[in-house]
Amino acid sequence: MANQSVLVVEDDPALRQVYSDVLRDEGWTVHAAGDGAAALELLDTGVTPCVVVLDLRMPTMDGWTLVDRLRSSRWRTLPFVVLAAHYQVHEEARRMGARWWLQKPVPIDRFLHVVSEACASNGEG
Amino acid sequence: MPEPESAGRRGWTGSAADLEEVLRLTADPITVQAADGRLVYANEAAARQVGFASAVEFLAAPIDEIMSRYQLIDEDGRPLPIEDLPGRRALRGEREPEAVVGFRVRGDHGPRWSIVQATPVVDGDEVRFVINAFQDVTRLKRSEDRMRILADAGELLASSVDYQAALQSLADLVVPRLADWCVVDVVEHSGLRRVAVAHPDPEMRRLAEELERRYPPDPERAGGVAEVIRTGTTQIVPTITDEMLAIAAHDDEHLGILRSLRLRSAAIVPLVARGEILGGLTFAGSENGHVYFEADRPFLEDIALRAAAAIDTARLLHEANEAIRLRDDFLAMASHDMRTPLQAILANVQLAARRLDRAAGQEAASEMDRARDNLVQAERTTARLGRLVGDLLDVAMLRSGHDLPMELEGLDLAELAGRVAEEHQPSSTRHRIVVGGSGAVVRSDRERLQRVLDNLVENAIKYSPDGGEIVIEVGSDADAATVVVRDHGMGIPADELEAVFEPYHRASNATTMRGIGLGLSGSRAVVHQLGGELTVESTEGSGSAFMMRLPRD
Repeated sequence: MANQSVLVVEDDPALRQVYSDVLRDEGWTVHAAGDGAAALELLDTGVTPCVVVLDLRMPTMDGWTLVDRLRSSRWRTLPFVVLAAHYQVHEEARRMGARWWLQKPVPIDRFLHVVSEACASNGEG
Repeated sequence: MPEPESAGRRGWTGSAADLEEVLRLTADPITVQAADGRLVYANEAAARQVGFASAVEFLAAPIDEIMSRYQLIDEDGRPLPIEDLPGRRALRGEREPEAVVGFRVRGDHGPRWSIVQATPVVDGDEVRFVINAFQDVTRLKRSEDRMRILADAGELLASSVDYQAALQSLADLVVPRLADWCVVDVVEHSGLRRVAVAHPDPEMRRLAEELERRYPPDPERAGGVAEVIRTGTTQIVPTITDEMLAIAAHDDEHLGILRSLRLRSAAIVPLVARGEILGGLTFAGSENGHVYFEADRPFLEDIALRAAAAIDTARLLHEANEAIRLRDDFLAMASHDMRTPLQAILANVQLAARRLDRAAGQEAASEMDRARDNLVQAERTTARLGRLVGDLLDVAMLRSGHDLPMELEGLDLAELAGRVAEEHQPSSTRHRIVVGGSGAVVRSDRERLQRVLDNLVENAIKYSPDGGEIVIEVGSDADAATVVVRDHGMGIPADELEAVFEPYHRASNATTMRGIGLGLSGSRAVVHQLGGELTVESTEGSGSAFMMRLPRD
């Protein structure tokens, strides 16, 4: 797990911090961005995560737009996990074609399990 | 017991000439047709019925002239062929034919209606002549028609929730039965709006629409629908004079168009529901058409009442749907806003537990410190969630008309501002929260004032995504203590400055921001309850300043 890297996209600073802590404690390398635009910038600077964990409602660029952008870029096969407070997050995830979704609040065991599973699928096509 | 009838008969010594006079002057029209259909007798009432000055004149007139004076119609308003008149039918051998016949006399308004009974006088198998007796049922027929119009109007108004379409159907229903023109105007925020126009001639409707477009009704103008809506009183004008048109016209061209509509009589009725004037219903008659009198008022007002109820129902339905939509939006956002801090609390507490488990093994000191950080973060977020719930409950109480139970104590606003700044600083590395000023002491509710300041500072952070300084400035003047929260963010568009204090509002330049939008409306209400006021100054693109004024201790 030590060489696995994750990109966390979450606008709430307290959540960004605790997601990072949880993942780092498990040996992940964590990159964090406050919105979709900052996430794309990180990817452009050469960060190569195996999975993206993203919120939906964010200022500047929201999660829906971020997914659209990823799909039309060289990151189109990068797995992503929708982790949102949206009251119909499953509906939104289905519409976005997301394979993994989690509704806040999610216990950290399940969070880690899903992020690992999504990461492991990377490269399956 | 006296016997007036037989006594009367015994006293009557009338001659044949007297009997003839009885017949001639009987109030009901009576005519006699010869076997060949020619009119051979008519009494005075029969002559008057078709517009002749006397029976002599009537009987002397050529048939063509008689027929040119009026038009015969059947009960449903269709032209009635002369062959279908009861007299003709009696001549063809029917025993006692009877029919409701309408006479539309030229130059008169509205048809007159009679029940016509034909009695053949026979000699053996041969009809010698036919007596036609007419009983005037114009009033009866009119009230029957009106009942039907009311029933039809009620039905069509109730059948649609699209009140504009329903009002157009209503206008189409009353033309031509009750009016040559029918127009419906409805009061809206921006003024009067014409929602329906009916006239049989499309060219005339076009003219009316052009008139409306070029000379929109002026609510302040005397006369017309604007005055009826202003006063709530029905106006009935039996005869529209050219002088009236001249007063109503804005200019000569307007007068020209008004004249070309050939209006002769009008009735304008306010549309009133639950004490509120919603619009006006105008009935008008053109030349040789409908005429309105004072006696028509109750009936016309009855139609207006039904139309107004339909508008009212449609509007209530719209408002209810809007309220449901707002509620759903609100629930979605409230759920969102509460799940986010819940996530932070859950994750921090669970992470702390894991770290404590590990601390039980080795590297105890550093793991303990990190676990403590998680617990502090969880505590902070719990407080944030608590404030959110407090806000929601306060706003729910305020919206249902309750006063908030306040707990008053002496408070130093500078100290409170310092605490708020300290609590919010860790949530952003891009902003610097600065507190300035001193000496503002008030007697107020600590928890609620803190929530108001929390809201203002959270907004300041949220709406200045590029960071910068957020200044909380405490001060006082002669009669109030003040706190200003100033940011250098995106600001608020000038035309939305007041709207930001409305429940659920979010500025148009901030659509993707999270938040249930209750903060500012709730904050203002709380400050009002504490005897103060909350105002905003802002320049779009360069920041906002929210100022709270509270009565000094």
